[in-house]
Amino acid sequence: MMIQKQTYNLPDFVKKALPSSVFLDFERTSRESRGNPEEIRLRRGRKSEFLFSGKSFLGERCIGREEMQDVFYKLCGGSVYAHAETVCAGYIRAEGGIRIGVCGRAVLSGGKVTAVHDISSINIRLPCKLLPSVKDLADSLVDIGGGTLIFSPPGGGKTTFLRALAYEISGRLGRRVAIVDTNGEISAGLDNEDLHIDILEGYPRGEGIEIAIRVMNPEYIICDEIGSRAEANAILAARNSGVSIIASAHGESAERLIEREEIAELHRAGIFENYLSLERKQGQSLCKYTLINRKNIGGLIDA
Amino acid sequence: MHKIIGAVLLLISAFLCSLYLISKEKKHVELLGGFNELIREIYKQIEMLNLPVPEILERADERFLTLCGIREGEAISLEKLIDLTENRLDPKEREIIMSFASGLGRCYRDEQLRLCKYYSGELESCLAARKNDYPKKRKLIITLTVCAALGIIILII
Repeated sequence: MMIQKQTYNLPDFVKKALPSSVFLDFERTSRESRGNPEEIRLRRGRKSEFLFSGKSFLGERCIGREEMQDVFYKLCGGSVYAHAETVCAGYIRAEGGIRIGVCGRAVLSGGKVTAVHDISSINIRLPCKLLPSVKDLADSLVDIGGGTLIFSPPGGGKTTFLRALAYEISGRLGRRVAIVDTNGEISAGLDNEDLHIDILEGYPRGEGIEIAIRVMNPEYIICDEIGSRAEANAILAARNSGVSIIASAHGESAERLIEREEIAELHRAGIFENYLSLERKQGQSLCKYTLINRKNIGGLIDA
Repeated sequence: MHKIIGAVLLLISAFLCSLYLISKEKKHVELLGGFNELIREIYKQIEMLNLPVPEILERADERFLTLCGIREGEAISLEKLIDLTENRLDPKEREIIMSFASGLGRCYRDEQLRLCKYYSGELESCLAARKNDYPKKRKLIITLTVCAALGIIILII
């Protein structure tokens, strides 16, 4: 399915945070490229990089240390201390579904990251503004029933698909949907007042799933990037509640996906009835999905 | 007759002038006290609630904001507050506040709290000195203005 080229206006807080040269490079690249903007990457001592529909473009100027710290400070809204916890986890939570990845020099205490200094890289991931049309897909998933796992390599469009499915299932199909939105990305733009949607923003996935089932009585729970033991345990515990889970995970292929013990365990427990593989060629907005029934995945596990 | 009226007017002017200078000095002390309270409030909000700087400033005392010259509904930032107080604080006091402002929000919680404490301590010293000097300054202003007026009156008469 085609996602059309869109005019992208960077949010004000991003425009103000970027050095003017980087912003001008981004605008120039945006005009010249046919793709949709996906990422703005800043690296200390190196040229900035822009990703448009999976294709990479380099800016013209290198970014210095002071500039990098200034960008980091502005992206934290002028309050680095208020974002310390998420910075130690590698990201800054920002408005509008934008995820900002940060890394630098970690300070450890007891084996845990307690602070990050000398920021060396910042990756501003821009959400896809236009939702893909998933009307038929949503109908199929609801008819088939059970959970769905969406997988692709990083940057494949999983979060956009989750957002689109949340919109369809809670809107047109009128089902109660709880979104465990740990990074604040899935629910961005789901402002329509007719949606039957509950958003648990910032909750860790495992806890969010438990809380959603306990208090929000959802028919569907949507969450992004599952994979840890705690998340698998929470999903397994939800099995008996009758709630269908729609989740995403990184995986180049079904074979690679089920090499992960937690995913294989979830499959054996029958959590996911449907597997959705996303594929997108570099430099293109064209995104192809393949719906795989769990029986076909089961063969891979047994093999 | 005219000389008497002139003398009375001169005395009234001197009195009003001294009132103006005293209230200016009083406002200076209040402004400095306000900034000190603001830094302490920032410390408290960061320590207890980890609130971001813009939110903390929004909750700042309205009286203090009016004193700085912020109009109702106007966006508040520490830099703006400092700009509006130009010529109303001593260079040393401004430098303390500007150093604080330039570092605010740029570090993690523990360091931020330490900086708040440090700058609050510095401002408190300046404030204590000003408060100590205030009664003497008040007397000096009244004495000088009245004496100046009397001197002019004598010259005229």
